[in-house]
Amino acid sequence: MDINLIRILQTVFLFALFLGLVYLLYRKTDQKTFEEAANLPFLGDETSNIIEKRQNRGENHE
Amino acid sequence: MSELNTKTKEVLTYNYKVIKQFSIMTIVWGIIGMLVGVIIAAQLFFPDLTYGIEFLSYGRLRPLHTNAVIFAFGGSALIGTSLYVVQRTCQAPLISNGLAAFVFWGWQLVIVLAVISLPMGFTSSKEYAELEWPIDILLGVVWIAYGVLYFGTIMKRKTSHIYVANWFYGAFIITVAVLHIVNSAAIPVTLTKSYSAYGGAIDAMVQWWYGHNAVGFFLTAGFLGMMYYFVPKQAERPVYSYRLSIVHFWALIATYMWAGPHHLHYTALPDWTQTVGMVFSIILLAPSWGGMINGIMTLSGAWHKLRTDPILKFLIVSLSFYGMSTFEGSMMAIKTVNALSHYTDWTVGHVHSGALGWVAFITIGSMYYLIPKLYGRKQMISVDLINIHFWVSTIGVVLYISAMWIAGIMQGLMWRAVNTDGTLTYSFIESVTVTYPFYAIRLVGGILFLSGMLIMAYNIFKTIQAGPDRSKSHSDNQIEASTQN
Repeated sequence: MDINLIRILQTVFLFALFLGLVYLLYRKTDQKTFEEAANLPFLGDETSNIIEKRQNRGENHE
Repeated sequence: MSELNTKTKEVLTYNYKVIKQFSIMTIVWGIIGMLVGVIIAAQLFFPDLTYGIEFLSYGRLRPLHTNAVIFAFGGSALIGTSLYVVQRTCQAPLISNGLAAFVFWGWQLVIVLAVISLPMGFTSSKEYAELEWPIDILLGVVWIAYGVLYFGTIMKRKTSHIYVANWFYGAFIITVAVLHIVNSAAIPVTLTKSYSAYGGAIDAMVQWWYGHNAVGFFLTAGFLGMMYYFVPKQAERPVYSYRLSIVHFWALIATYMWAGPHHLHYTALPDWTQTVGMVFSIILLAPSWGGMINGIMTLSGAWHKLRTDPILKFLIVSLSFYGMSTFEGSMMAIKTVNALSHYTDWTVGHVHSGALGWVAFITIGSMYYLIPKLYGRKQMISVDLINIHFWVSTIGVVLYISAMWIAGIMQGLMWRAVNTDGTLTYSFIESVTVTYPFYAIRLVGGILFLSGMLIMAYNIFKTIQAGPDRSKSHSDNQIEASTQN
């Protein structure tokens, strides 16, 4: 097989992989997972009232 | 989510000692590294400044400057903040306090050996990898210990997800290990002299594969890890788009790896390799700007905070410099632009808009957030001094990079100018003469930036001296549950 064909296929494969990643990420279904993940830095700030803090932040966003 | 909440009710004892140590040394090495930078900038303006003293000659101090600011200042900041972020976002203490101490003292030993060996003239002559083989081996061992400590802590996390900052820090740790080990491969001749395991153009390519990925993973991915934690914390809101951060991560690490050959345009490196390097450097603009936008837009809806919060100013301006220097870098990697910019002071200006504007600013902002927290305080003792620091260093950076832009473009134009008969229009010394005044401006910029670091050191000293806030009960223990946001 021609080496250049392998190189082309590799490039196309990697680009498809990237598109696949973007598709997987931007599906509607995982909204909650990403929100939780994005809030990880705030975990453990005044542990006892963490839920209140979450709610406060929610208000700030609106 | 309820699962997370119940788990965080446990009282956690994080290792803050090692983070305090690294944070303090970040400031100390920052001042030392930048002072050496100011000295060599002064040598360019006053060529006889240290005439006759071999240990202080430009050729020996320059690698000391780069090693001190990248590995001592930047490295301490990265290791320190990564160990803080990994504990906080994984809700897990470090797996071993002994290993943490080993990483700290080992890293400091590497730096001290660099401070001794580089002015002595021991060098492998590889840029940003000048340290001779015994120090390289020590560095490798310390780095692997750091990796074990970091990933071991991630494995023991109490959260289900690994926060994106840890992905960036993790990529930084793994890649730097690979880069360092491959590029430092050498055949020792004596204790202080070795020869690279590679030859000719391959040696050059390995060196710049290392060199540019040191920029991409040490000075970018690592500090992006810092950005993804400290910008949301200081802005008190989660990152703008978590999805974008994941795209940002994979696109950035996949692209950076191939950009190195742009350091070798128009050399003996095969032409196709240069083109690959150029193309990937241009593609790199997309993930770089994706990340920058993600960081800056985190402030969306809270822009007013920029007016009153100088720490946020540092963090957001660092992202602006990041966006500017990555744009500039992509452009400079284009062969025709590179034909003008290469070997001129434009490159030096570009590096410093990244190193001062991005790396140092994000570090300074993060330290102003972190250090009061580590010492049980809500904030630094003087917010005004942070503000003064911000303006002094901003003016310093702007003076520095604009001086280097003008000097560099002028040099590039003069070197390439030819008369109709094909002879060079200018002799080399003529380009040095016109550059001379800009070396003075650069020196002033550097002195301003260093002054800012001294202001910071004073502020931090006073903050630590003042002790914890009255309302806080915890002393030096690392009980995290009660630390204020």
